[in-house]
Amino acid sequence: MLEKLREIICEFVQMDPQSITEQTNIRSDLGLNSLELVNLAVAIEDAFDLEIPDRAVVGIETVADVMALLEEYSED
Amino acid sequence: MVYYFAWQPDALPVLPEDWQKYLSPQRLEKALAYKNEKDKIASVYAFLLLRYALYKEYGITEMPDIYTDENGKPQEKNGRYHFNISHCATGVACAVDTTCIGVDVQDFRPIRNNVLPKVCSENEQALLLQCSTPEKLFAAFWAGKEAYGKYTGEGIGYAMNEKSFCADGVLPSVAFEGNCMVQTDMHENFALSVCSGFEMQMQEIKERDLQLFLHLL
Repeated sequence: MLEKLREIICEFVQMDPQSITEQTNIRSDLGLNSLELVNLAVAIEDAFDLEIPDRAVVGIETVADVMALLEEYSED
Repeated sequence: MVYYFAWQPDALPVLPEDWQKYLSPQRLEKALAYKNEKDKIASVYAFLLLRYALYKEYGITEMPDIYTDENGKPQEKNGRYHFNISHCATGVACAVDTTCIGVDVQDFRPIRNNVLPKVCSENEQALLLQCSTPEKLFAAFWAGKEAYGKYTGEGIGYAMNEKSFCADGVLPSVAFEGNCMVQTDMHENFALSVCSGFEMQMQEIKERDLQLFLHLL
């Protein structure tokens, strides 16, 4: 899952994929603003074939948060 | 009142000397956490603009005492005023008022088509198709929706495609939603939107204005 997320994130940010960890902060480390976070969320939804509720996207701060959402909504 | 400070994409403002002393500990921590220098600069200037706005509107020179509420929205601890700040790659904005307020600046970026159904109404999507500068119009749509979300405390956590604050795609625009209004205007390098219970004036300030203000502190 992390490897796939790294690939997706690197479509938005030019960086070494291996430097992206679960602790990577979406805003301060990746420099993504709210619009870019929504773009990222949609890309993740498409890649993983699931839907993340709008309210859940608000709470995303780290890559770990994204992974937790993927686990939660993959099971539904 | 909304104050904004803009710069060209290739001409980032320089941080003032001893800029750290003008920031609260929380804001300093947040600014220093940014890996990218341009994000740090924008974050710093957003807070400096808040201090400027508080001085101009209320004569306040002391450091704002801010906490984050249950929705993640920054609030002034004593409830003396409401504020909201926003920054993007080409500017920062700060709105202050005695009642709830939300503000957003959004620079112009290429549109990712798969995001449109989530963010834009069908009418807005049609307007984007007809527009000669869709990235600018989309920025305006987005700024209005985010300003509204920041006003309500929901942030981006609501069905944005069900709200439209620039229905005909003409700017500047004013839209009424419940007991608030969303004002959106287009500037050279970003769209600026404010959501409040009352009409807000928007004033651009220059780097020199901020420099003169900092000398007062």
